[in-house]
Order: sequence, then C-alpha cells, then structure tokens
Amino acid sequence: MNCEPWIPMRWPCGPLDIAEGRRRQGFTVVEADALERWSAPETLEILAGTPVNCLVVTWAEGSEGDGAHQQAVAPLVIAARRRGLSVVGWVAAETDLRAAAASARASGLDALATESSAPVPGFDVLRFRDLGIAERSPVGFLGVVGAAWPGLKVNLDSFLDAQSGPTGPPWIDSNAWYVRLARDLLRPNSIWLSFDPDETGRPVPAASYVLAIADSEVYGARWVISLDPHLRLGLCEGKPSARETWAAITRGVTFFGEHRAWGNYRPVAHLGVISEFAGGKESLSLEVLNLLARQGSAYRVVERSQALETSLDGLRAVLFLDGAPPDAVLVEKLDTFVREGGTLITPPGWEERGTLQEDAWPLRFRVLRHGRGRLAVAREGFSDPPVLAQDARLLMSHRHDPVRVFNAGAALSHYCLSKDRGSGVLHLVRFVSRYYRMPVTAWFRRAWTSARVWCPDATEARPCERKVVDSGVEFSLESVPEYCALEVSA
Amino acid sequence: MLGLGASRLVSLAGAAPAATVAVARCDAYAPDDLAGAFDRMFDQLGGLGRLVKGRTVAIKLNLTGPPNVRLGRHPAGEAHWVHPRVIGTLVHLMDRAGARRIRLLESAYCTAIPLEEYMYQAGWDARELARAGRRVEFENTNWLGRRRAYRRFDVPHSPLLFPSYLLNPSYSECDTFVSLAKLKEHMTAGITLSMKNCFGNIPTTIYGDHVPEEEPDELPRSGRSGVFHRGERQPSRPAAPEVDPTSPRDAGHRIPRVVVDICAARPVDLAIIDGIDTMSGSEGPWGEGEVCHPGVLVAGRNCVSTDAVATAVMGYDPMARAGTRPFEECDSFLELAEQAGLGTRDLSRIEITGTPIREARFDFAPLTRGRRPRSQPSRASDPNDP
Repeated sequence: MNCEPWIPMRWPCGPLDIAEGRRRQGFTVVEADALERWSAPETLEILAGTPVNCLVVTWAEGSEGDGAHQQAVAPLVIAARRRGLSVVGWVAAETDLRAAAASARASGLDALATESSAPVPGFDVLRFRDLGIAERSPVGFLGVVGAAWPGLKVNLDSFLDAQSGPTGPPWIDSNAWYVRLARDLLRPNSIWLSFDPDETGRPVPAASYVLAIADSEVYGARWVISLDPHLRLGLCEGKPSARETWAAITRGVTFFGEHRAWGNYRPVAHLGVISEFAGGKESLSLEVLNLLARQGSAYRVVERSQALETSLDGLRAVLFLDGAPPDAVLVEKLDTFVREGGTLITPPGWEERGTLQEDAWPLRFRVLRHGRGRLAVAREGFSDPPVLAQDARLLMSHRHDPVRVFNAGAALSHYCLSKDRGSGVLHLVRFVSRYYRMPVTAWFRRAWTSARVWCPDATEARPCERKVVDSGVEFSLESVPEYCALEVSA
Repeated sequence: MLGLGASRLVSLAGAAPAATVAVARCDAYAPDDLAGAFDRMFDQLGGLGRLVKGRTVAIKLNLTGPPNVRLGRHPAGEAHWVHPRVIGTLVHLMDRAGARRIRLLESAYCTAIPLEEYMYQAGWDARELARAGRRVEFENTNWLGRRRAYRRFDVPHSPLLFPSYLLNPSYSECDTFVSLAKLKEHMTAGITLSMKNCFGNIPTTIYGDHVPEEEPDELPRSGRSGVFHRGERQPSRPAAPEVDPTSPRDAGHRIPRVVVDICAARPVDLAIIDGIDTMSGSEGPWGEGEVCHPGVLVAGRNCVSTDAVATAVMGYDPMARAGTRPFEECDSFLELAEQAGLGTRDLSRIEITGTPIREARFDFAPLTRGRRPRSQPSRASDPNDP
C-alpha cells in the first residue's frame, strides 16, 4: 500500500463516535448534531473539488456496538468509494484487530489505522504511536497521536492574549521539532499527525487551521484534517462562514500539494545536536530540540550511534547533549571538529583541552580555545532546556545567523536549500503578531538575487523587492498572513 | 495632576541649573558628516576632552523593544533606535579625545544575552562599534551579569516614586555618564529624549513583571510595567518599595516621576540626541507612528535643558503642563525635573549654540496620527519603553 498520495481527513460520525462523545464531559448538542449529520453520504459533497481523498472513520473499539456502528457508516463508506475516495478505519488499540480487518475488508475499506501493534496478515494497517521516539525501528509509515494543536498558549483566565514562555516570548505549541526528529531518526516515507482542535465552544478560526496544516507540512508531515464540530455542522447547514473556513483549509492543503518539491530541500544547519535522545536525558534532549526549533535555530539532529558516520561539514557548532561522555573514537572526531574551527558544547566531564577564555559568555560555560575552534564545557550538568537552547545559540553567535526575519511576531521560520543549493525557501509560520500590519522583512546572509513570496490564499507568487545591505540582502514581503513561503534564487 | 509632592519641589525650580545646549543640522548618517557635526557641537559645549580624557565613559544607548521589530521596512536605527553610526562616531570621537575606556550600556528587552548579540539580531555588526575605539566594552544592564551585587542609587532630593533604585554597577563604575537617545515621542511620557532613555537603566531582573518579590531572578523574561506603569506590585527585595503605595496607579503619573528619580539618582553628564532619522507618534513600532527626517542632533551637559531644547525642536513647548501637548495624558517630566532642581526647561535661561531652534525645528504634532489615545498608555506601551 502506498499511502503517500492520500490526503486524509478525520470523518467522525456514527454510533461509536456519538457514544464516545457522550462519555466525555462537556459534550455539546452541537457536537451530537454534527456527528449525527456527518454520517449522511451527502456530506461527502463538501469534498468535491478538494484535494482530500481519504476518509478516516472510526471503525471499531472492541465493544458490542462495533457491528451497529459499521452498519450505520456503511452507506457513507460505499458513497466514498464511489467517489474514488480511500477509506481508512480507525480501530481502538485494545480491539481484536483481525476481526476489525475482516469486517473492514468486507466493507471495502482500504486500510485500518490503529495504535495496536498486533499483527494483521493480509490487510494494510497504518500504525500510529504516541508522540515519542522510543521505538527506533525504521518505518515506512509513521502515524502519531497526541501531537499538539499548533498555536500560542492562551490564558483565558487572565485575559492575556498569550502566556509567556520561560524565556519571555510567548509559548508556542508546535510539532515542528518532533517531525524533524522523527524524519532524521526513523526516516519514514510518510508521517501523519493526528490532532484535533481544542473545544472552546466557538468555531475555530480559519487561520488556526492553516497554521495546523503549515506546522505539519513545512517540516514534512501531513495532518489528518480534523474539523471542529461547529465547522462540521456549519458545513452541513451551508453556512457561509463555514464554507469560507473550509475553503481556507482546502487552499492550504492544495498549496502544499503543489509545492511537494520543497519537501526535498534540506534544512540549513549550523548546529548539530548529538544525543541518544533516550534514557535519562531524553526529555531534556527533546525539549531542547523543541526550543531550538522555536528559536528558528539552524540545527540538525545527529543520533549518537550514527555520529561517527555522520558528516559534520557545514556545522559551526556541535551540542553534545548526553551526560555520558562519548567513546574515544567519537572524542577524536569531535576534537578534530574543534581544532578545525568548530565549537563543541558539552556537559561537564569532557576532558578540557585548550586555553581558557576568561571573558567568554555565557557564564554557565568554561570556554576554551582549542586549535582554531572552541570548547564550551558547562560548569554544571545540563538541566534547563530553555537556558541551554539559548546558550547554544549564543555560543554560535547571532553574528553568523544565515537568515533574520523582522516583524514576524511569534513565528517559526524554517530555511531550506535545494540539493544543488541554487535555490531555497524560507517558510514562515506566524502564530501571532502585534505587527500584522507591518511589512515583514527577511534578511539573508547569502546574496540571493531574487525572491518571491507564496501564500496559500494567492494563486500566484508575488515578487519581492530586493535591497542590498551590509553583509547580505533583504527582501520585503510586505504584509503576509499566518503562513507564507519566501522562495529565493541565486 | 502633579500631586502632593509638587509644592515642596516648586521652590527648587528657580535654582535649577542651566547649561549650554548645542544644536546641529545633520542630514545623513555619513560618518564624516556626523563627525563634523559632533566635533562642532562638543567644541560649543566646552570640548569633549574635558569630559572624557583619561576617564571611563559609559554610554546608555536607546535600543528599545525587541531587536527583530522594525517600523515598516525601516531598520531600527532609522526609526526608534539610536543609529549605529552615531554610536560608532561618538565612540571614535571619545576615543580620540582620550577616553580610557568606553562602555556601551543598554538593558536589552526581555533578555540577559550579551549586548553584542542583541545588536547582531538587529542586523548590526557590533565588531564595528568595538573597533571604533581602543577599549570598547558592551554590557547588557538588564541583569547583574558578571557582577556580584547590584548597586543602590539613592534619589538625592525628595524622591517622587522610589527612594532608591538598584542598578547594574556599570552605572556607577564610570567617570562620565552619557545618555544617547533618540528624538521621538512616547505614548506614556509624551516624549522620550535623554531623560526618558534612562528609564532603561533599570534591570527587569529586579523590577520585572514576573520576578519573585523575595529576590531577583537573573533570567529576565518580561518588561517592567507591573512595578512602574501600573504600580500593581513592588520590586524584588532588596530593592526599596515605593515611597507612597497609595499614590496614583496611573502610568501618566508614575512614569514621569520614575524618569526624574532615576536621572537624579544617576545624573547624566552628557546628553546626546539623535534626531536625524526617527519616528513620530510613539517610542517604537508597537505604537505605530511613522518615520520622519528631522535631520538634527542635540547635545548638552544638562539633561533637562537638553531635552527642553529638543522638545522645542520637535515643535512642542517645553513649558507645557500636563494635559497639553505633548503631555496630554501625563505629567511633564521636564516640569518635575525642573522642580526637583535637576535643570531648567526655560529656553530663556538656556544658551543655545549652533543651529537656532527655528531653523532646526521639525514639527512632530502633525505626524502623530498614529498615536493611540493616551487614555490607554499602560497597556499600549512596550514594557521596555525608553
């Protein structure tokens, strides 16, 4: 089975979803109504002319109600098949997967999706797991549940628009770091992220959906589209506001489908992060990646077991996260990296070599000149991810930033180059900004000769004005929405 | 609006010192133009050597707000930050005049990162500033840095808000203290200039919104509006609490008083104002406003008199009272400072050299359409808002 062409969408409906909803506190009339009406085959009409080509329907939960549910959604499945849509049945982890597969096969489903690891011979199963990388065996398909709804942490109690993170700026929930890590470690062909909008009692804004799509697609994952009940009901009732939101969603999905080539671009990386990403420092290492991604740091992941075989070319610094020192061979490789001009950032315990730099920052490190590079040895063990992520960025110095973005607000930026390095793309995912009306400016160290900005809600790219400035070039993006991509060319 | 402290201060106003203020037209940030203009201005003020030769000079910069924010497309130096070439030129001139050490100070917004790193994020090359003199140092005074303890600065006259302020010791470990500001307006205080610039001396590790009251938090993560603008909390110990906790909690009352207190506690030896390219309507892009080109530099030994002249250059009356432009929703810190005896704002008592005000004048009032109503100053202002 090749699920790569599938654009999946969660299609909650039928008795099992209604029963599940009723077991949940706060289940609303709107939700119940949406679930009732969403099982009607006519609702599939909303998919006409959209890239969505795969329904993910609840199929079995291992209860007595499974049969009745499957019967209830059968007309929807048949109608979907007639429309050329693929249908995937979601099966709860504890369910008899063989029985679910048998009924799915009989009903014409294309595959099952589940968190169960039970074998099912003769039927395709998309395996999902919790957000994590404990299981390292390579997979062709990686499904993830428990991913975050991307956005700013909002504190409704205090009427503040966003909660500050530990280092001051607003705290952004994003799955970017995880997708990048999973792609590097597990190298799947496809990553699907399953997450639902928070139930706030109000329709989710179109911009939030676009952010959910962008936060997944930019880094190489696909969101299993999941609509809030207000939107589902609104679409059933043909409400204009619901149609507008849905149009924005489909434009976003279409956009990334039309720019699949960017998925082959390689992230610009100046910092290599070496770790087992497991064991006692797992949570610290994962959180550091989360924060590096949020800072817009140009980093890449190097799994410790692969570090010897991995080239460090192009890196300005290496952050060795694990408490246990590397073996002698890796020490030699890292020592060479430093002597040739790199910066090695390590916890205490590393054999200190070189000449102490008395005036070096940050104060939490002893910085030693070694060869043409520097060794930064922490005075105490790594323990505070925000501080460590910031220190790593400082030890590399903002002087060497490959790109800077002005007026982007609380945003994630992701800068990638084509394989021949003749072009690049800067993705900008803007979660919130006090400066939305301000034109965004992107500065590049590399003197790209032209740039154009792509937005999902525009059919064509817009050329950007170029300005040569000290040590680089700037492109003015003017006013841009919650997501845009700046395509640069040599 | 001046409050109960006003009457006892009025008597000092007549004795407020007056000092010469130099004004120069300067159309661009070309290094030669800047050097020539500053050379002439310092000559008019009695010579730069007198102030800096053999001394440690600390220059408080005005780099307000995050480094990745611009007013439109304009780099910060062309709008709300003092321009880097102004800094470089002054460093060069002070070095040439014999300064032993030149220290560039600023409390960088919400962070304890080195000041050079803050500048790099804005697109500046801090190395060029470092190379402008023989011994140039940078210090982010938003926290303690390498120092062991904060230094207490007592307010010598009757304090208006706090009896003393705890600051990074860089503000005491200098022989000459320079406030290098931008010619611009301010949503809370009406105008910024060299005095309001010194509000940024104050570290958010002690006076920040999220620091514990028991002790400082050496990881800055917020602005200072809780303590200063809104007065909804006291600073961390051991900083002294405010003199009168029952005084108004209104930013238009409080911020001008903090400005006067801080300028009295850490006097400015030389005030310099960059008004070549700047912005109107606000102290930063968060208040919108628009860029403008007054093409002027102002400098003087007395910060009150210098700001008074700069206010006049902006087309405002430095004698304006609270409720009138540019102090529509706040007290005039110029008036409070004069009453406290820091300096005169009376143009008739100030010797103005170089370009006459009428020739340097650039009216800000017609440009202030971006200014928000002053009735919401404390929310509208940026938390790190010199």
